[in-house]
Amino acid sequence: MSANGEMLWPGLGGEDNHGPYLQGGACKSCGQVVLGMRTLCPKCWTADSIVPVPVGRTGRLYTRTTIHAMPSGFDQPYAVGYVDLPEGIRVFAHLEGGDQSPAIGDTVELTFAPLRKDKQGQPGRGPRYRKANMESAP
Amino acid sequence: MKRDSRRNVAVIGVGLVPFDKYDDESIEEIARPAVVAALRDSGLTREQIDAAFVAHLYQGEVLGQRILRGLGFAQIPITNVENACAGGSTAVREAFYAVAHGHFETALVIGAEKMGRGLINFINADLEMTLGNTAPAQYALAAQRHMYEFGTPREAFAQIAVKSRRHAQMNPNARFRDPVTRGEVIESRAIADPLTLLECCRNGSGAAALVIASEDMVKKSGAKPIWFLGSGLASWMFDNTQQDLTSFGATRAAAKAAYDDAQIEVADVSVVELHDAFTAGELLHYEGLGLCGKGEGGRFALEGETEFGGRVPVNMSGGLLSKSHPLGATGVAQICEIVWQLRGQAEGRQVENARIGLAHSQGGTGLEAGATCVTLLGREP
Ligand SMILES: [Zn+2]
Repeated sequence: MSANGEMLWPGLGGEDNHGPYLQGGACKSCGQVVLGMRTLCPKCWTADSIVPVPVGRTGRLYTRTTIHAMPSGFDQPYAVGYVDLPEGIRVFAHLEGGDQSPAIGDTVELTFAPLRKDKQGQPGRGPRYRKANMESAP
Repeated sequence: MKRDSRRNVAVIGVGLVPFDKYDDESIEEIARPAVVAALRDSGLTREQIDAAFVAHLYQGEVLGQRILRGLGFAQIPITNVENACAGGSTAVREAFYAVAHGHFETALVIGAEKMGRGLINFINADLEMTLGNTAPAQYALAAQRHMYEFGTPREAFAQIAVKSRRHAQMNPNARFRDPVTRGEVIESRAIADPLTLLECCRNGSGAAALVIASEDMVKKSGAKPIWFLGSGLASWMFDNTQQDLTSFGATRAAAKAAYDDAQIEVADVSVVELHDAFTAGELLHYEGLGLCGKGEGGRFALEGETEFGGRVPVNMSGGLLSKSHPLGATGVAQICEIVWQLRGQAEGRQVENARIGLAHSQGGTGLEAGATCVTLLGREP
């Protein structure tokens, strides 16, 4: 993974036998699922009750846009959107561009890809969803 | 707060430093003329000001004290207020309540900001910003979902930019006053689909100030009052939840609170200044404020209901789109325009027989969390 750069946001996700996932947390006390790890459950307020669970391997695209006015670290316009996950949460992520770029309502699957360069020009990786069941290489 | 549990409070003075670049002035130098103008407009002296509430976002510590020490103010209580782009309107609300509850007889409100160029870099960049999300993209994402769910035509957003410039042509205080056509809007530089450059507000610097007073003080001063009728403040708490992005819930909640507070209906509102940082925002706020039904914003924009001469003119000042957006100043400047409209002093752009005006502003860092404030003002208390 380091060949393609570090994760833009430490602890955002990873890859296991089932493929890429986003790092979610599930509360042992009340079952609430959140994005990322937290020290306090936002629903039941139990401390240190969040245990790691993989989330977001697939989802449904809620909305999307293409960003043309880019912040630093991007070279060309890129597609982004909000993806509603079956775990009940919504995440912001990049979308595969081009002809196969997913449309609103499409089922999508997670990949990780180099998205943005840091000040030294080193690429940083992050979540990019593509249309599900496509055969293109990650 | 229930109306019968508070005193009547009015705006008796307004001052505006029209928004522009002001590269060579300090923020204190930009802001002071607004204070002087508001005090002169009110007829009060600085010795008659009991307290000040000062809104800004990126101007450093104790901005209010820095502005007012250069104007010879005595040691009055000064509260600096931050609520992102809704900071100005939140300062107005705090001052209104402080006078309404009898803590002070008068208060000065200042909103001021000196901005740089380009996309606003939020100090606490959150995950979305790190991944490359931008403020215009957030509104574009809401617009795209609105188009998907309701078939809203892309032209509806462009028409809002056309209207903004049409109104700005009538307002000498507006910064961008050249008329534009729908085609020019759609063909201007792409920012985040469907939004183009002409559909995004520009950064600007500037300041606005108000003098507000209790009913007793209004009578003593002989100033012409424009009365506070109600106020609503609400928050948007996106925590990766699957909310309806076509409905800014905080606008809905703040508007309801303000209408309830004022004991009026949306149909009573004759003129509106709302937070048109992006055309998509204005369209969604039509629905959030109840000016039209859910999903109807596109039709409402295209049929001219919010244009000068329409049923409820919106952003007669030209709004953020044509004035630019000095964050802390924006919400206070909106109140200046509403006061001019209700006094009948909005020369060249006066909405006929304007009796009740609504100001709405909204701010936040991404969709993570945000503030929305709605203020209602009227010719009679
Ligand atoms: Zn819990």
